[in-house]
Amino acid sequence: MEDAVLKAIVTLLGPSHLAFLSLGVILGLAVGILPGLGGTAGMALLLPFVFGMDASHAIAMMIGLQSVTATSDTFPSVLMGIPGTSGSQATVMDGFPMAKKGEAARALSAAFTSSMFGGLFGAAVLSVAIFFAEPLIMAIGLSEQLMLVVLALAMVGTLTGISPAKGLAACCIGLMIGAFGSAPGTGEVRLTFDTEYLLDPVKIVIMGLAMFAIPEIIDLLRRGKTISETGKLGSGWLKGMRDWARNWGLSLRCAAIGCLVGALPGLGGTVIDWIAYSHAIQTTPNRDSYGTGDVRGVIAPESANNAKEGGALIPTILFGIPGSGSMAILLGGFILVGIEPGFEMITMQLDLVYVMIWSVALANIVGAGTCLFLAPQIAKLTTIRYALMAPFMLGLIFFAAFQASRDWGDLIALMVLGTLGVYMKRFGWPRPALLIGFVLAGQVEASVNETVSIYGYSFLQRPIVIVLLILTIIAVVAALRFRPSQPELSDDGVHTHRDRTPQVVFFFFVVGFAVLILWDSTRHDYLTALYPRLVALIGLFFMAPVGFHLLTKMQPHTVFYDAKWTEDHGAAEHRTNEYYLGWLIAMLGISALVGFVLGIATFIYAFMRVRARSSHMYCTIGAVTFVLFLGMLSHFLVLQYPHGLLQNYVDLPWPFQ
Amino acid sequence: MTKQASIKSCAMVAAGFAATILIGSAPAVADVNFAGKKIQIVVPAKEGGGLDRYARLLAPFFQKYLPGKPTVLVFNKPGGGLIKGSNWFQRKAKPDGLIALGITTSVHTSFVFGGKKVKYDELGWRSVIVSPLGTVFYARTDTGVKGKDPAADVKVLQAGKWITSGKTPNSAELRMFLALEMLGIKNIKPIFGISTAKRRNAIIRGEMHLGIDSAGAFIGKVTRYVKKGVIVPWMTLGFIDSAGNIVRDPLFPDLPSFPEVYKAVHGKAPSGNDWKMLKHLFNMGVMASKGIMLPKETPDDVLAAWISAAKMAVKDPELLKRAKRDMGGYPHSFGADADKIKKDAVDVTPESKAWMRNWIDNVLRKKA
Repeated sequence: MEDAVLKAIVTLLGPSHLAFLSLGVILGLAVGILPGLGGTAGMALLLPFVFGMDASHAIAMMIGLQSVTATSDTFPSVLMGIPGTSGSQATVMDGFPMAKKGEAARALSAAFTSSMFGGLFGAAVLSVAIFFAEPLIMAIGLSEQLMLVVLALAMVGTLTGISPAKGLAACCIGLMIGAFGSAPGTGEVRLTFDTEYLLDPVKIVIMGLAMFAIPEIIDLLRRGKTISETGKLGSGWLKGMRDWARNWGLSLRCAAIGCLVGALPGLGGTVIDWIAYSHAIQTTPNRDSYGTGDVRGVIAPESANNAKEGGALIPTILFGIPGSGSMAILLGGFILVGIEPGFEMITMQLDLVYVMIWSVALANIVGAGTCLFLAPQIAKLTTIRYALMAPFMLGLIFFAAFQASRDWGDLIALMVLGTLGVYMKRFGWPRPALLIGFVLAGQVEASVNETVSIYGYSFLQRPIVIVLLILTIIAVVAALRFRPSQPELSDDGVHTHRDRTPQVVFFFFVVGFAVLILWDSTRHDYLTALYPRLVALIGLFFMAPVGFHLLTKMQPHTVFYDAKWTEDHGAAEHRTNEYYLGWLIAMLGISALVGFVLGIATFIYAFMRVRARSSHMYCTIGAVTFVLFLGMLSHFLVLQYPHGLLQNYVDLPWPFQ
Repeated sequence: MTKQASIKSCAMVAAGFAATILIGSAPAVADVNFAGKKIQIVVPAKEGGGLDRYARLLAPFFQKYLPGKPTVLVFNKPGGGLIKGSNWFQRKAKPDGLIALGITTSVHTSFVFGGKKVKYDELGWRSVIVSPLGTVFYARTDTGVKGKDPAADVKVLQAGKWITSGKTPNSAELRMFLALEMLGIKNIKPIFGISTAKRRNAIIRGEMHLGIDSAGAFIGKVTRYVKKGVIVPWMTLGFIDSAGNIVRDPLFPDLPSFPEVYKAVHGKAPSGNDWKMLKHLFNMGVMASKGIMLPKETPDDVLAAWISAAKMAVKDPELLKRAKRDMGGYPHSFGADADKIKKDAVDVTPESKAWMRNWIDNVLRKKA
């Protein structure tokens, strides 16, 4: 063992190892920054080069990349309100408001410090746990996995907002959207409307962009001149680190959660940030400031999402079972360089295992350092006039959405769900609740089916299930006890009962969606229909009181919410949500004719011309730059862009195809 | 830029181009030349799965051996149980040798049982290479299976009630369900919606009792638990030798093949509708487990270039070193031979298909 440790340290600190690790880190940071691209895309990019490399160099590069995507994805989450990867959705909740308050610098430095700590913690745990993890992971059977999902759902009860019925209904809408695609128990497909695209449920990336990016971008376009309302960055670099130091206990707990959930089967990486975020709300005082730019809301998810990479390496190394999408390719990469993960590695190639683990630690230090170094420059984005930035960001998120399954349907799904997100924001339906319902939908249905088939109700007698059940009850109680304090209700505030027609219309639209799900369920056999029928009925159950109050209350009430009461109608440039949604629809329309690349170029040109009043030259430069950017990505990452009618008739040259 | 300078730079670019082409084409003698081209191998499944690994394993060697040394890249287009990517390939791929498709058992089963969603004509595609991979049946030792005497093991399994799983009722596990049924092991409770890896771990944990794995996954991931005495392999589907007979799986010479076990149980060789169908499933699951296809109209010389590259690739010592688990050392087939195996797998008569549909709906689904 000492031999292995020594050998690993020598390898680790060798100049060539460090060089390859840094190369991986830089690549990882780059793909992490781009929304929609994450570790999976980065690994796919690396694999062709890994072939034929020395095994330890290849490991350094792959692990370097893998470990830091969750570090740099903080940039878009904090600076633009766009989740950089699906693992950093929760960071948006408080990070973006901080950027808007002019505290981008503080938020980023707290985030990177937390990321680095989380990553180091993950590596430390992994160094020891790798020897003992087998019985723990093997103790988590299918019924325990079900309880983990239930626990996650319960924890998220904290995120239902001030109107619990509305929050729970939103969660059910998420669960309903997850019912599209095939039923795990029978393989029958539901709700496809005879399209090929809907054979599978919508991808999480698209959901994240639709719930956060689109509503935030439109909101910013309508309100402000720059993201930072003060037009300043703030000089909070040291402050951010001090914030972390003050909340080290929270950071430690969240890192532990991240590590554990990453290692255990059942939940997957995409809810870890939300669990950490809810945990922060439930266990810290002054919870009312969460969601308005509380630095603890940044520290919690960022500590967890880097720690999970260490945790997820445990099943990857031990069982050859990938804990995440990018871990799956990492496994492929291992095999290309002749490493076969499995228990034998611990006995036969322990030095290599240590090289892997400590590469994680090293990569986190290099990654967080690089980000801290770059952050002051990148954060300046928040001080750029927003009308200039928005068209590029919209181009970027539609590009990101298309990477989900490389289908035109991705763009349409983003448009439809983004519209839903815009109105949920306006009418105060909590979007995190919907997102979490959606993320867990597949697991809820599958694990209920598995558990009931194998155990019936006897699963409740299993010891770990009981422990998880108790934790669930604690989480529910915590969620109930810590209700947010009542907001001030006034006649001309957001909770007013006046002018309620728009929210009533939206409410009936949501009810209509639930009814549609119910109607479709009548066309399937019992097992296929069971899940959508149940969640639609539960959803309607929670919608009923919302509807009742919406229609009958004659004074301000928390069930009412319309963001229009906060808007400044005096502003000369005031435009509606529908105006900007119209721009997006026009962009898709043009793309349908001439393809995405030309469509987005036209959009950028027109938007800069009309909304930012830029000169023709700047508009052209903007459009051309973006086309070249897309062209570079398509060249290096083997991407393809959505075709229009035009491409059916003519073969266009790079980069227009 | 002055006129002279621009002419000069044009000339330099042209010279550079010429040099690239010369260097690129030097080793290739045939008419087909992919120098400077980018070739895609479409994988209709997610990154990291068995098919993805197979394609990524082969890609660098196609790059090495295709005439002109083109860049060969893997492009994942997952969804709909491999149907989306396969449909997309059928619709979009031009027969110019610049785009190929990786196929696997689920592409076959979807083609045969996938119904209206399937818009691809697998029989039309031209095979470059088809690679077999054996199927191992195993059980937990606490079921009473010993792995020594097939007749005794089957008797034990016939007497009990066992839980196992599949992805969907028409997915690749059909070969397991039908084989068990033919051996009279009828008291099986299948749970659907579970991946192979999840089933494997559920069996190791003791939540399920029996299952199958491909030879590579079994050796890599189950052997440890065989040594620990938790799991025991008891049968393989077998392997078809060059004479067309079903023999023991060359990687598991100590395990009886399905026809042997059948004979030990029933006293005669398998025959009838169920056997006809199982032979198709056998070909889909074992003999044509993985492969690389080109579009229907691909010209012969392009196909020949791919086939010769594939033949050299599988002999490359570098590949042999890495491919132990994903290819297992089974013999590959190429071109027309591979087409024949594919045809044996998926060219199912309407009567057989109807028989199978009926069995799935009225027997298999009822067990769930």
